[in-house]
Amino acid sequence: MADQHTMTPADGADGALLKVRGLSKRFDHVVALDGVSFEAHGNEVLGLVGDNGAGKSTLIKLVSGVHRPNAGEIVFADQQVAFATPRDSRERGIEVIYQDMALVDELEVWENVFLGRLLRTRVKTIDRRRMVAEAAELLESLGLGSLSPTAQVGYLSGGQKKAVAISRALYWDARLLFMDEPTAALAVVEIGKVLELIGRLRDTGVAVVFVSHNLLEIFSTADRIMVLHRGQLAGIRQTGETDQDEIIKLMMGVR
Amino acid sequence: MTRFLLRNAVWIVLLFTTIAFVAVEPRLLSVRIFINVLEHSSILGILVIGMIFCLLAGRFDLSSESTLGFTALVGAWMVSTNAFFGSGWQLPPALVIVLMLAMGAAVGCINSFFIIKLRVNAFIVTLAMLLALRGFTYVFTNANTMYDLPPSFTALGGYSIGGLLPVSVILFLSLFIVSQFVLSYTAFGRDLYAIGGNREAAFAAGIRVDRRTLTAFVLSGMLGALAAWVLAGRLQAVTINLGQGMVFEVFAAAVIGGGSLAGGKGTMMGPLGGVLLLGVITTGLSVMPISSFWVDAVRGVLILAAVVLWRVTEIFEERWRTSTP
Repeated sequence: MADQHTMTPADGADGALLKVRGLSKRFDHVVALDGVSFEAHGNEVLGLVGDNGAGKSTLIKLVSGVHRPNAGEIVFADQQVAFATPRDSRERGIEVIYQDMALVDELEVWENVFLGRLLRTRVKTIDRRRMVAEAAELLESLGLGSLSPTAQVGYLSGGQKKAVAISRALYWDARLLFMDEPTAALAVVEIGKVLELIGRLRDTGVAVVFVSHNLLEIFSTADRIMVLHRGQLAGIRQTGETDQDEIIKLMMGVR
Repeated sequence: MTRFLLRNAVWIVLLFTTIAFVAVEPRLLSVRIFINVLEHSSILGILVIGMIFCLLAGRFDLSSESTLGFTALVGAWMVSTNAFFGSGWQLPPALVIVLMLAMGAAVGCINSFFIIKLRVNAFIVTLAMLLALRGFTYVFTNANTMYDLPPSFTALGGYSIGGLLPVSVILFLSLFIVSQFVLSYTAFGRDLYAIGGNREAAFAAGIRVDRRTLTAFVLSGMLGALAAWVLAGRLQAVTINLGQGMVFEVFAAAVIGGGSLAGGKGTMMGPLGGVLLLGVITTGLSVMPISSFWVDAVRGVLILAAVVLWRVTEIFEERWRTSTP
């Protein structure tokens, strides 16, 4: 049932950056993901779509080490990996921008950017000055110069929070970047910025996996589209060789 | 300005409370009494530091007063020169102190094991530990009081520099400064804020949540043992009820000082103000011509007032933030 045609220009002798085979996850009796296989390539945006509960978030959490799979294998950069924690996956260059953004409201912007990877001085205290400066520079480079690195995140707007979450993923030079609904709850102007950013990242060689409910966004941004339905892979299509009708049918499990 | 005043409200209340007591009873205005308040605050202060580490991580440790009681007793038993109730081993005090700290650390490890690995609520785990250690303390001593402690063991709690400035006061104030530094300038401290603020986010960002939580509980246990050492030195003896009931004061001081039970918020300096405020009120009311029962009543009202004040501060801060983007 799961048909795969995964030929892309980025498919070289090295193969895909991420190869996932037969990935499955159960939560008690609920099968959240059932034998999903796919590949993600550098220089490519892979759109990931599916109805609520199709397994998109679970898939991200399995690859990034938040959850452990019950079955299946993950090969990242030609090495089989079994991440025990997100820390392990981040060390290998996998970053995730979560739907709920995973920010700490109590902390300031710079500290959220460097969360879990605080820069230290020679005497092992945190290098606040450097982190604030680098966060400011980073925000500036993303056209977010109006956002103060010392603003407390809890008081930011939804769009600003999203910007912080994206900045964090970018600072660490991700090779594989998962973006779970990065445009949800954003104003139109902000959505445009995020989509443009996704394109820029792709062009620098990053493999982007882009989750969205909005098929217009997916079609305008993704090189390939992968559809999940009730935890199973419903299909993978080249964006140029499919249309919204087909994707919607796949999402609804119509064949 | 208003923001500064609100954030440091505990120090302002402390100042005015002190002035009020001195106004009513001028004899309270003496260096000796001030130092006495500090000395009596030292035990509570040391326990509060441990509690704040746990609170920041979104947990709490009810057991530290029993850790204090238990380690004080076992320590005194090992070190006492009196063979009637002591072990008769007369271990060197330095070794005993290390063993006491190790016991405190062990209590922290056991607490963390249940909380982290078995995912039992910290309230239940540390409450059970509070009761169990208290019970062990009774069983262990048959309600004997341990005394005849060697001077080198009691120096930390009993010695005063120049007969005026107790070592315990210096120790407790420096511990607050050091721990505030740890919170502000080390990755451990910053990670605690992140864990208490949003545990899932901290984990997803690669913070070693379990390890940091373990460290917080181990620190709390070790600080309990340290407080035991100080208290044993001050009293020159160890009774079975040492530290009993202090958990309420520990919580009170933490909350008055702006600690949040939800985690992720607070400093060390606020709770230090809370500790001193409780000390001033206890001392002040004790010399007033009123019933000592008032002490608890006043403390209770104070805690409620503090909670309201901190909530008001939060609401104001929210307004300031949203009105000036």
